[in-house]
Amino acid sequence: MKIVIHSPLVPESAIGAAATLVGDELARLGHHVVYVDSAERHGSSAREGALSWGDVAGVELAHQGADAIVYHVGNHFPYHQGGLWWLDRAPGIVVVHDYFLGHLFYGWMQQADPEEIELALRTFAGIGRAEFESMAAQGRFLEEASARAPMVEWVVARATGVAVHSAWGLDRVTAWAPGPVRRISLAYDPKQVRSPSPSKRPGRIRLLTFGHINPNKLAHEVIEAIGSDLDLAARIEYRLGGPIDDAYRRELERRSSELGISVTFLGPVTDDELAREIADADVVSCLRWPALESASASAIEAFKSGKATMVVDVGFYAELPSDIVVKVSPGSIRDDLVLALTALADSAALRRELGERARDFADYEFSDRYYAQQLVELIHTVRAWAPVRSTISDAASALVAWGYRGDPRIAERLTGPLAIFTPAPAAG
Amino acid sequence: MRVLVANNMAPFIRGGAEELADELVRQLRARGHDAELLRLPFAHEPAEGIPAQMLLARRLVLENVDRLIALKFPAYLIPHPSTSIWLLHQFRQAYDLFDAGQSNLREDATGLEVRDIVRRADDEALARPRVFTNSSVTQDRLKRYNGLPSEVLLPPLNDPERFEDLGDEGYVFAGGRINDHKRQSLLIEAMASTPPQTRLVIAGPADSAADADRLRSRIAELGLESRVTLDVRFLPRDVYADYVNRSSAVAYLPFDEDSLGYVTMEAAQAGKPVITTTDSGGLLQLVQHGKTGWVVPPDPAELASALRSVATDEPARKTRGAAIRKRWLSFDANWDRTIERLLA
Repeated sequence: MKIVIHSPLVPESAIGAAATLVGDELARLGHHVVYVDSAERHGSSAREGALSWGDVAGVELAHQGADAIVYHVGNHFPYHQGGLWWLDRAPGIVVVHDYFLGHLFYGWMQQADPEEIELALRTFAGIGRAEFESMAAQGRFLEEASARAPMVEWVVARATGVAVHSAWGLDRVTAWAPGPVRRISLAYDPKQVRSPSPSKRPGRIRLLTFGHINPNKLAHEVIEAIGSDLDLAARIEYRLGGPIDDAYRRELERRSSELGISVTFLGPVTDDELAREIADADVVSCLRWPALESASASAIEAFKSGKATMVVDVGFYAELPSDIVVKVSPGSIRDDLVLALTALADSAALRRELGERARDFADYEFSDRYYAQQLVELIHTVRAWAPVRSTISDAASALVAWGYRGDPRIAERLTGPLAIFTPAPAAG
Repeated sequence: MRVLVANNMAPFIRGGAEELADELVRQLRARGHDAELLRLPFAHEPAEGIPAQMLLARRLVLENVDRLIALKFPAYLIPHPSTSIWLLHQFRQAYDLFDAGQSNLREDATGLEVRDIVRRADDEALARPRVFTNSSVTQDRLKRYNGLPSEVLLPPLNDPERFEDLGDEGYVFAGGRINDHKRQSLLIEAMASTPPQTRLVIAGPADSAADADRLRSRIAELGLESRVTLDVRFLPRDVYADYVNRSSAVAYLPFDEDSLGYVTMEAAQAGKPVITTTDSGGLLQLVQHGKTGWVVPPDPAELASALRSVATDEPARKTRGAAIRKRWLSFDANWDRTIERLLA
């Protein structure tokens, strides 16, 4: 098959890494893969041989004769503006990397037609532009908009098929996706996976949080949990690897100093440094609250490194097998963290067993080969669905020509009977 | 010519439109055409399901057909390059019945949207050459609501040879489907105020068992069993014709009927005067008070008066019977001309 993949291809994009990992595997399986860089122009950032999304003639030529066009979509507008632009012109399969696309929408808003903006917000969130902008201005955008205006519906409504990486936000997707939806576990291949190194710190435990260090990763809760227990405070070294906002860093430094615990801020780290940090860690904290990712590359990296990992029992993380991670309840994060850290600090065997099980699970579940197989199946399903999609589209055009104003009860009478043509399963 | 006649199908409901469609196919075949009848299932409830059924008609692809003759909504939405529409009626719930508050479409957002969709689709589908209407009532409605012209093409009788005056056996005959819309109950109420020699025969299929039960109960309550005969069944044509041919007059009281109505036309063919009401619609083209029958307000007392007149005024019966036959024949509704116009 000829498969055109739209994705950010800048090296900093984790989505780009995942997209090319699977794309390259598809090419190894014999498919003809063409990449289109959906990120804003970055000079030489695009992958060699890839098209830039602004090369309209080139992309149109690539689309000709394509069996599938695949759009990887995440929440960062500068990385995905090209994908959005093309999705309207050349519908295809959307791979949802985030169930919250509010920032993407916000970025799109800055250059979109006001009527289109209003229509999209009214249709998919039931709110007006002023209300959406007010949420963005109040500093609690993630918390508020993720519940009221996640805008993932706005993207999937235009897709011929949808792939998601976890099932927790599936209802929102299936309610609006006009084609098949499939759950495929994210493929992720850490560049520098090192085998776990035995702890050389008798009695001492090294705990690591990595990525963009912000309140969503709950480092402050970890510090409070450690500080609440004298034994943990004495035994745990907490390391934070990745860029961090100054104000948040100052707050964390102040509390860790007050509580007398060891916290090290590593700042931005290279891939190699990160791999070494993960290898040297005894436990990885992949806590998120709220958890809005379709899947977490950080967690998969920890699993593939064979590390015991702590997560909040929510979203993508809740769907992980309970015997490969330690889950803390979102209703009692701090108390659960104390119990989890105590158990992990006390038992090297527990840490080793969790790490080994996580690595075994991740090596299969989050592999490029498995993902490529699933994506090919989805492409076949979408192609089989095409006549139904065409039928619905023709019918919708006729209805609109007759003055249809969008009453959902009328639409349900039309689409309901067509559901018998749904290629099963709706979500794999 | 290969002609496809398209009509609706409301399962287990059969009336004049169904008879007409069958007869049209027979008449086409009798003139050497290949003719078939296509019946599209259609249910007007729930109302929000109507647009989906319209789209079903719209998406049909007819191959191997030279001419499509469509009779009803939404069958006339079937696309075909060579179509004649013989409009028996539009979906009146979106038109005059809506305005009169007698529609199944509610005045909420969904009801209004369905109404507007039906009207827009009609604007498009009925704006073409070869649109015929079955009466001036249908023609006027199409003009009033959609601004579209049409040509009246009255449906001929299917078997005119069956209808003749075989004498007067002293009863008024009320034939056709039995339901609220046809208001046989008004006649029963009127019968309570008529002289003992007045007799009424109500015969035909009931739309539901409840429709028949209501009439039966009321006849018993009023003690009219000896003077009112209720013959509820689908009548063989010879039985039906015999009821007409031996009657004193025929009574037919539909509410705002579009067409002349087979009951009226068959009575006229047999030379039987017709009793009807001022709000009965299309049949008033044929039934004129004092000339070809009795046209009275839809009120039991007024109807009783008409029934009394039929029972007691033989000259009026005979004069009006002859006049309605003459008027009907002057309409020149025959199958040769009808087929010629539909296939023009």
